[in-house]
Amino acid sequence: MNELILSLCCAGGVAGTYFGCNALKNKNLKVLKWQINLSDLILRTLSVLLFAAMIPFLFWMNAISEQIGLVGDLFSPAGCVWITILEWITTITMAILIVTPFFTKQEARDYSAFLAIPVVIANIAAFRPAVIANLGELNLTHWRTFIYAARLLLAAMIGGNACIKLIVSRDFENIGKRVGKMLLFTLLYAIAFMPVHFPQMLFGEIGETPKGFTLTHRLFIYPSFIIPLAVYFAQRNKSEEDRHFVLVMLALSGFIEYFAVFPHRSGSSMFPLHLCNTAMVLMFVAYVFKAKSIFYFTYFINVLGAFCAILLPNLDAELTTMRNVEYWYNHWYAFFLPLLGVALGTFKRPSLKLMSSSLIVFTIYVVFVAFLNSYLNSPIFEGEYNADYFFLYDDFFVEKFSFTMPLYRDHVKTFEMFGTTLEMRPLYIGAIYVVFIALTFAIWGFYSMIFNVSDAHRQLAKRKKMQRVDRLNLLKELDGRPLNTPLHPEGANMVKISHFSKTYAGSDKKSVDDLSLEIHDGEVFGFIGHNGAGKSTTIKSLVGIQSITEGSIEIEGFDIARQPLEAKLRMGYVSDNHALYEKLTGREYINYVAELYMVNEKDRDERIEKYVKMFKLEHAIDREIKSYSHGMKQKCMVISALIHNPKVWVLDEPLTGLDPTSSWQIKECMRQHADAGNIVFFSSHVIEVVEKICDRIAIISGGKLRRISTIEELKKEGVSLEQLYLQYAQEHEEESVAEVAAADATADNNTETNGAE
Amino acid sequence: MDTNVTQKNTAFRRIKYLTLMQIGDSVRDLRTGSKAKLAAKTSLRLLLMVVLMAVFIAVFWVVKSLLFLDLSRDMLVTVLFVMQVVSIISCLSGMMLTLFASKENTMLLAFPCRYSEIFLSKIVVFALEEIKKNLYFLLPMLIGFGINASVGVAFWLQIPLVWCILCLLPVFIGATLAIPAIFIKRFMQNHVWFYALIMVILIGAAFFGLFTFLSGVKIPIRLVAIYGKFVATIKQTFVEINRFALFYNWIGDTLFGKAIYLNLPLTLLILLGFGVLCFLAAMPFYFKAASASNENSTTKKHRQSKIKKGSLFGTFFRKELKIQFRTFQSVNSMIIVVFIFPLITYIFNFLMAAINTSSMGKYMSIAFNLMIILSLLGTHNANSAASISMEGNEFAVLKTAPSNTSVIAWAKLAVTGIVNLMSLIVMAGMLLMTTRLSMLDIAMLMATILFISLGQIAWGFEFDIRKPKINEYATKGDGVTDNGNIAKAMAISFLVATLFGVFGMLLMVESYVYGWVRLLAIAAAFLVARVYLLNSNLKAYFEDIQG
Repeated sequence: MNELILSLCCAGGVAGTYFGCNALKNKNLKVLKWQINLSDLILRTLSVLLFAAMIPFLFWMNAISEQIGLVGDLFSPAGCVWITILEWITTITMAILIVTPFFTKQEARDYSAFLAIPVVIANIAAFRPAVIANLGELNLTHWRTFIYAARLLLAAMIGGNACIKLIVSRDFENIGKRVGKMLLFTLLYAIAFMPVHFPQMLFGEIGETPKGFTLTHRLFIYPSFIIPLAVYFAQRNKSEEDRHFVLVMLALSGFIEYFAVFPHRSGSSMFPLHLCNTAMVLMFVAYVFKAKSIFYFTYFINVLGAFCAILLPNLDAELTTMRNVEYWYNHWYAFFLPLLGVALGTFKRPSLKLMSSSLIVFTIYVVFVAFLNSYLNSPIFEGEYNADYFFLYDDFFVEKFSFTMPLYRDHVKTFEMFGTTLEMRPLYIGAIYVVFIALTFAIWGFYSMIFNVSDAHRQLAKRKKMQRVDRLNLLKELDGRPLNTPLHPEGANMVKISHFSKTYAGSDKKSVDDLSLEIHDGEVFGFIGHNGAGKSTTIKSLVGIQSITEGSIEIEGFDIARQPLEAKLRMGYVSDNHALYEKLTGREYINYVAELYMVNEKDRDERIEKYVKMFKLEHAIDREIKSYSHGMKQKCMVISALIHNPKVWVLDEPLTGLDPTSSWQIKECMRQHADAGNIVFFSSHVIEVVEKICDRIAIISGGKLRRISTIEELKKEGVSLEQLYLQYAQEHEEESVAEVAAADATADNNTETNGAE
Repeated sequence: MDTNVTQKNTAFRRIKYLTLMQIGDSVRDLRTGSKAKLAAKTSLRLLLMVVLMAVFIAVFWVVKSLLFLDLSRDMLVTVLFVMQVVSIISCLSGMMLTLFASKENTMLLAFPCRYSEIFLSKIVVFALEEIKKNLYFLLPMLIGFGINASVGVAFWLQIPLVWCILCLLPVFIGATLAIPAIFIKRFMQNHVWFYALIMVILIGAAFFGLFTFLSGVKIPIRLVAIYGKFVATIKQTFVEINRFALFYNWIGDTLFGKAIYLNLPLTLLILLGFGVLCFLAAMPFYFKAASASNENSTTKKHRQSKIKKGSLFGTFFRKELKIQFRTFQSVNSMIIVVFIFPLITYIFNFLMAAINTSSMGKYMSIAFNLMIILSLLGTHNANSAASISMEGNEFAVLKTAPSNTSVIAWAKLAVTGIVNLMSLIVMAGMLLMTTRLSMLDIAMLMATILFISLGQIAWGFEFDIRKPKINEYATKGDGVTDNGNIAKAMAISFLVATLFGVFGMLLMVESYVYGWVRLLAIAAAFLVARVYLLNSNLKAYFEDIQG
């Protein structure tokens, strides 16, 4: 009969909630500066009421929790197991229903819709056994029975509303997948919400508390790391709301698991004043209300304390007892929940200022518990409490670190306060405090290290992803052609620079700005400009030493940025600083380069002999490069650049510091190479040389291309290259002066404006 | 020539400006830098001094109160003597670099100054550096000693003067010895194989001497039982060493207030004598020695070897090997790793084996060997954190080559790994001679260490790839002294060594056989992880490194 009444109430509640929410779904309430949707307000209010209805079940003894080893008066062994499983699933469902009204994610709605009604129905069906499990007797008029019924009603209202909404909206897309996902996550939450008395009920009180780094102890330590890693990897790519949802659920489970043992506590352990016990309350508050200062206290202080507790358990209880199970849940949560909060981005990485605030709170905590310990252990309580919060009173640390015994034993202060005699060990307490602070700073350093590693891995993953995308785009553009074919076949037989710009890191000024030019087969192309004009920058980007900020550069149709290997295979480069391995001989260096360019042995030998003879290096080619003169090094570089007979030969100021003979040899080489149908592109300051050997020239000044012309055109215009060069150099100087003057004027105006303000 | 010169061109003036030019950075900071920054920097330095003073006070307290060694005049003289020997060696090495190999010599020697003036300016600059360095070492040591030894007023009053003397002595001695040393060094650099042979012979002789000496030590060493005798032996050793300490005995005497009016002036005279010797003996040869650094002629021809076309890895590997064996510093480094590190291992293991250990002794032996060998190799392997950057200007060849030139990292890793392997083979021999570990144990230990050290090398490469310093090495060459990547790699190496040592111990204690298997598995996993990450970083970032 009662079950029928309860069912009717639940049905009525479901209907009332659904229609009420439906009616108010478009109505908002303005409270101060917030607009609150009335429908959401109703659901959230029901959620808070549900949470309130759960409290009695945490703070009052649950009769089933006293069944040990399936032996007891209440139920048969099978009955114990089934009722506990029902309680388990109910707890998970209640927790989900408390949390989901505060989230908009679809999965949250699915949990409510799919889980709630079946669980409520199961509870109604097993109403009487559930009451017996709770109270130890069938008392349908006990206030806790009414609270239990109220829970079911509230759960039905929240869950039923979601269920009806789902049916009405016909949102059945991927329903099978959604149900599967929901069941999977429910199974995972089951681990978090396991009733702490379950192992004891099943197996009795067996085993020892894991300690001393035995195998069992290590098996309890490993989940501290494995679980948060698993949660992190599962959630890191989800939305912020999803991550917050998971963290709130875990914080709630920590809260429930801790207080589930509350009715069994006595003495001072009733109060959650041990650091890690406090964490269960603080973290719940921190995650629900996103309270930063509370969160960072747990982050800096509780994590360390919990880790110490995991490594050095101070517990003497059997492995399967409630006390032991709760101990491990408490400390695992206190250890990894704050870390997860930062790792998943729910809370930002803390600053030193936040750490300082945490230390102030910690100091207050230490002083408070030091006095509280003394007070609760004073004669007036006659040993009732045996308080030892944060191990500041008893000899826990002394047992672990015996050298602290003199500090503990020999420095005791007694004084009268609060109408009793208090006993305190200020030096011992001070030492613990200082060590903890030092460890906190060490933890700070450790966190920084972990963050750096994490950032590095994230950047690496991002970079690899970008490279994969680039490769796919390249394949798409090649449209089925092999990778070693030019991206732009129309660009064969030329070097094409299109709208090339380069800005160096840390600078806001372009070193080269929008440079475009084409160089064709058979040309010797001269690239001239004043110091700092952008010649070397252009060349270095052309040969692939530096990146391109904007634009593109193609070598025979191969884009240097996207098909670098193919482009470089077609180029030979002579740098402006004859970078050579000085410990190698000239021949060894050239062979080394030849191997990089995959030149076969026959061609290599022939070309080495040819060029060594041409440059008269026979006497030096087998000596170490460090003994070479500047000219010899340059010639060695030239040979290495030509060893693979490149289509495009790029030289950066190749004639600097060379004697006339060496200069003539290199110029001859350049001309011959171009005459053979190749491209020679070089930069130089020596105007006369450029005029003599170049087919076309380009003048760059202040990062901008000023003029491209053939030598003949200049002659026809009656302009000498030197005049042209000086003219552009002068213009650049005037532009620079004007820029500086303008910048100074702007700065002066700003100063005046600020002064006036 | 400018005739409108108002100032007198004196030698003092030239030396002054040469010195100021060489310490330009510091002078600029003092003159134009922010006062607040200067105050903060000074405060930090003072704090460091105070911390170091506290450290030395603690150290000498331990020596006096826990090791029961008297803080006597003999001990002070021995400590000063040993410190000075180390200082002289350090100054000698520094002087050779500063006087002869510094890149600024090409500029300084061209100035209108006498070579003697340039020489003196360099001595002054070096001396200032030494004084600054000893503010954080020698001075705190003397104060720490004084506080614990309950010395008289004379000690405290003489500290400033003695400290200056002790700072300047190694500088003058170093400068004097630097001249012949640089010629010897040049000869060795041009005949690297000869140098290597001499070193191997010397190390062999040292090993033989050590072996003979240690064979005479009665084992097992019962430290507690013989401690009284041990203390007496130490005291006698101080006396024996002090026989060679020469004028440092006068310094010890004067600090302890013995015949101050004789010893102090004598000490000052010694200082003056070395100064004059430095000026008269070293200075005339300065120009010849300094200018020779810029001459690179070599008539030595290398045999042309048959060209074998092979893989890219082979190309880089052969190049690396050639350069390593032709570079004096690399050969030096290899000798230290392959011969001197095992020597250290031999001494350490001999002492450990000589102490009568409990059943835990075997596990501790393994753990400490892990830690110490990994730490030693780590100091060498940390250079991998500059392997790519050290290419300097030559990196352009790698950037412009049409190949996957990131393979060079593996070639460099292989070369360093081979040196590590050679060292471990020699160390295995040392362990066979000194420990009770079986051949299998030693093989497992060496395999574990090899995996971990290869992992350390790969880790160092990662630092270099993520934060390359190509431009620094291109401009300064081997003169780069502040590479943060190397410091980081070294710190990581020590941390890894400590962690593996501790884990090794715990695993062995739990189960010896399975402990080995697990330790080897963890080391292998470490290597695989680091190689995987290095590979990923090479693929992701090597192309982006800009020359």
